[in-house]
Amino acid sequence: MLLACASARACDVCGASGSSQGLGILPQFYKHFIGIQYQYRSFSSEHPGLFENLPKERSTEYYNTLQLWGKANIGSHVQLFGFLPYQYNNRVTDTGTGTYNGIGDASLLAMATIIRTADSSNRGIRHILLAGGGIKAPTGKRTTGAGNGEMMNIQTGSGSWDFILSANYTLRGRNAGFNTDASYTFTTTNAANYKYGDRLSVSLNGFYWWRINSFVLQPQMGIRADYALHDYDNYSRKWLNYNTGGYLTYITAGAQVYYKRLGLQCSYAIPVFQHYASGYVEATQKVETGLLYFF
Amino acid sequence: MKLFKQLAVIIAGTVAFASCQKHDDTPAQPDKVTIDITTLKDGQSFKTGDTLKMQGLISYITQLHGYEMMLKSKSTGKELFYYYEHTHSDKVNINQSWVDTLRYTDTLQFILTAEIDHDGNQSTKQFTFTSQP
Repeated sequence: MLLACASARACDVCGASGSSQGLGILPQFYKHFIGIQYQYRSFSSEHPGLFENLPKERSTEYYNTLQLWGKANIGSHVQLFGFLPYQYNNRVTDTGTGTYNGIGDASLLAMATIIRTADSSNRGIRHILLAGGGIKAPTGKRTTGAGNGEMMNIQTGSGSWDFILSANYTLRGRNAGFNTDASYTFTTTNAANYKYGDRLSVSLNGFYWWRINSFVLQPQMGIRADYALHDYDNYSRKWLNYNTGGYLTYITAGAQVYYKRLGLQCSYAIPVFQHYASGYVEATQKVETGLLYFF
Repeated sequence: MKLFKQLAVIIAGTVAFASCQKHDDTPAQPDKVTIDITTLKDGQSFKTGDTLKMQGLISYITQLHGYEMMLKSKSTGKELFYYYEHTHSDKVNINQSWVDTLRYTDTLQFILTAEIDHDGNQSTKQFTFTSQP
């Protein structure tokens, strides 16, 4: 006798869709930089059984992002940022592993300098406020089934054009300072009429720095909060998916080291408060590291 | 300071505006679920080696959450075939099959249950078949 078994190709509560792009603490002593950044995030997800007789579906999602990014000053008041990610995402369940990899969604940000303490100033405290906006293009690769709720949160791209508002403020004293960064992403629908929820990200970091010969060491610590609205499975029909969206709040700790024209960044984040996908998704940790070259 | 206040108002206003998410509030109406199995008829007979094709369409006035199909022996209650799928659509195509390997005469019961939500709102369609060696 043949007992054909179950299939659950759609999962609306697996992992968390793309995190917003923050700028963080940016050194301003060179006009341009180019960098490569690696980010690792992981989530554990649980989906209630579709029917009472079915067990809960459990999975772990691993997101690996290798990103090329850079900054170019246009004149003295505008800074242009570009991001091109490559994603390698895995979803591990009791029955197997699914891999989703490829180019992610590229984005471009133009930031205007709203406030900046003049270089000629003798004041001990300096600050800079950047504000601007940008666009995220649907350059990411998506699986053919994506659009009917199939693994929407682990695709390498959203398939949609999204618009970003961003602000970044840094206040520096003699050897210490703080930075706050906020960005809001307005999402649009993709070709399948799926709409990822708008996202708000805010971070606040304190930092200190030492200069030792040609090295600058800058440890930092702070908090980051990501808030995402619910996704729409079908935006024109207003099919709101309550098992998406929510908030994740991380404590972050890291360091930046600069040597001449080179910079090394690394940070580690653990979630402290979270309620994502109606509580079915739990973020576990986040690691970031990157290299910068200034010119 | 004025600039920071303006920025805070913009951020708070944007979040407040975006938080009001419109949603389809159609109440669950299981009687509006249509289950159309085109390849099966109630009372059909199958012989050992025959393929029982389960093809058709489930449709509903708004989003369905999933469906399950079960084929079991009416005499023993034993499950011969089981399939479920989690979906996010108002139209769900069905395309599965089961090969009859029974070596004795039995009455089979086929049950398809379409689930509207996780609150137990669902609609069911049943067929009874005969299997003969």
